[in-house]
Amino acid sequence: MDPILDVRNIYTYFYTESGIVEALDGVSFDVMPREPVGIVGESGCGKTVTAKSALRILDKNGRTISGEIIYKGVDLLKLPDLQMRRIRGKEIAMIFQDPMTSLNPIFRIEDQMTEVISLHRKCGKKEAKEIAIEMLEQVGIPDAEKRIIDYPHQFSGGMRQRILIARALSLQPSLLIADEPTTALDVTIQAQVLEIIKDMQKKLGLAMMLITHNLGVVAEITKRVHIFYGGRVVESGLTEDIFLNPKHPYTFALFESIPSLEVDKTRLETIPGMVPRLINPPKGCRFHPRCKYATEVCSRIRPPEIEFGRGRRVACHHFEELDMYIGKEALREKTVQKDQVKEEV
Amino acid sequence: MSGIIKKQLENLSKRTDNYMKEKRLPNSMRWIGSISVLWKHYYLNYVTEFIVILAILFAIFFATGSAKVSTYAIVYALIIASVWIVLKIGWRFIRASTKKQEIIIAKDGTLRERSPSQWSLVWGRYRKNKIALVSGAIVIIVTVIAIVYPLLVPYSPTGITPLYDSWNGGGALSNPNLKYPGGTDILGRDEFSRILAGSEVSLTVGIFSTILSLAIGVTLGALAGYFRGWTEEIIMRLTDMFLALPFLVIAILAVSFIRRGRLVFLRQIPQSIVIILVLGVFGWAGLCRLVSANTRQIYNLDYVNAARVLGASNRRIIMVHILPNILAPIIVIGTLAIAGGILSEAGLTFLGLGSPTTISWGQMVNEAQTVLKTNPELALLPGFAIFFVVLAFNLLGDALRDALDPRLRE
Repeated sequence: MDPILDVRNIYTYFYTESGIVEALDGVSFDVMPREPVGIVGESGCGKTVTAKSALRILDKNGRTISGEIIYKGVDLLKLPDLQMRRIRGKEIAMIFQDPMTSLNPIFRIEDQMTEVISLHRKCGKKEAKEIAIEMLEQVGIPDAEKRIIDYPHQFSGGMRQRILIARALSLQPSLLIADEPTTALDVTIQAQVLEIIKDMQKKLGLAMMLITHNLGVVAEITKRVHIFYGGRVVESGLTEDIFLNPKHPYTFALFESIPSLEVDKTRLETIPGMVPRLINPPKGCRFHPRCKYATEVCSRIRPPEIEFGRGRRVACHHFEELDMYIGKEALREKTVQKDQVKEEV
Repeated sequence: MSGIIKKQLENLSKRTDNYMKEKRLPNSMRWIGSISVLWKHYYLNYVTEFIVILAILFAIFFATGSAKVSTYAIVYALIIASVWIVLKIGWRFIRASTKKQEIIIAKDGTLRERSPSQWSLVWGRYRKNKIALVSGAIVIIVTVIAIVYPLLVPYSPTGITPLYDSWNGGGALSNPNLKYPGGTDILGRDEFSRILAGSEVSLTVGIFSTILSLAIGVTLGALAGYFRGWTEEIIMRLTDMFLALPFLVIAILAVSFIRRGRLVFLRQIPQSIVIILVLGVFGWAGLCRLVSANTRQIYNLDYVNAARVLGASNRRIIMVHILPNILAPIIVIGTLAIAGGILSEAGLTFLGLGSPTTISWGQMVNEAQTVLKTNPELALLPGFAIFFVVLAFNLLGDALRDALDPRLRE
């Protein structure tokens, strides 16, 4: 099966006054039709820039230098503006992080919902409104018919995110890019919104790119994960594989820093150091200044992406040696902790 | 043949029976009833209003004496009243067709009020401000005067009152009296009529020069703020250049060049259009800065990005998503710019750049300079006229700012 979105080796740079920011440095990954894919990484590692590069809505100073983003066999980066506009909203939809600012405060929900429909489809106002109401009902807005005449400020954050989901899905796109859709919401609402996204994804058979830094959300929704670090993909594979057996030291460190129900720790593991500044990024492997297992090679040569079974890819010089080591260390730590717990009891 | 007639007769008798039973007209005759009902509930109001307006207009014309001067005053009054009524009926139809229902009935039968729109909220805030209402009323009255002044003036504003009338208060440089409430100027023209007539030029220049500079400034500002890069660089440097020009000096130069320059075809342009062009072309720079800064600010908000993701074109984003959101400062600056335009026009004509055939307050002050000792009212009256109109526009601008953005008040 051909992937619906195939990102091949893209480089996106931002030209700022203090220098060139190498936001994406040879990123490649793919999204299969009807498949929810997670994109995980720290803040500023290029997750959102990837999505924006794909839709060509980068800020004015950003540019995708090279690479291909192939959507259904067409290279989006080479498409003329008019055709790109037809793809946005109709074929690829996007949900933004902050529902509070994603709706225009001076228009009624009705106008904002019907805008996308009238942009892409030739239909009357009445018909567009009916579609809008139906979509709002599907995402669980109570009394959609009555509330459609309200302004955005009359809705809570969770409701607005639902409206945005409804708007994004009202033309039945094939690919949905959700850029941290639950970050700005409080925890109980997060669960509801995630449930809606999951339901709609299944119901409409969408391919989805879920951008998040919340590993719990990834485990809940996605089938496959791409892990980003410093503008590169460091590891990708099936969600279950990565969760059970992380191969890249960064992925491993990421899982270590999640509080777990099984293991009782007084202090959470953290990854030492800071997210690299991408203006003058570390040479070689971008993770090496923070990596416990880094050697001299890591600081010189960019690690190649090594591919093995079940679509698993890792970009690390030492993954073979580390595979055993990481596993063992984790096991040892766990047993030690359990022993301590027993002694305390 | 006879069968058909028989049938018709039967039908007719049936109808009459129905009418007698139900006390209502047969369907074929109901339009008569509908007209009489409509007449009572609908058109009668308009006819009474028409007559009332006509009566008021006649009263004004006879009071000011223009009905005696102009034989067409009655025709004018008829035209004004009928235009008013036609506009009102048209407005009613337009509103009936575009007005959205105020109460929404959902499928389950419950009712819900429509939430107020931004403009109704603004109007609500504006209405509470008394200064705003007064200044708005002054502006409206002055505008009406500027439009219908030919009907209101007691004497022709360009005509010279007869010298033989000087025993009755006429002639040149007469003091204010009952017949000539503002006195007469050096040439013996009625000052009061001239002040009423001068409002036309002042308002036309103020409003149209503002429209021109708004058109230039908003377009360039939105383009600069939206497209950035080279577009912005060029437009902003141009703006800087225009901001560095000494406005009054350039305006004097430009007006005198157009009026008396070597290019003959430029001299054909009427006086008020010359001033409109000069004020509009040299007055947009500040506005352009403001619009560009505001556009930048809105551009960075998520809903602009969201609109782009939905597939909206650049033009649509600027027109639908950005401009309506920065309309408030544009309206306020525009209102204040009208006041500025009126002042500049008065200033330019005061400096002698007016044409002698155009009636303008600034020029009246200029002409009154020579007789300032003996007839100070010739300078004071147009001066106060300028003062009040500019004050009204400035207060209106302030009130609009308060109404549009209540956060600024604190």
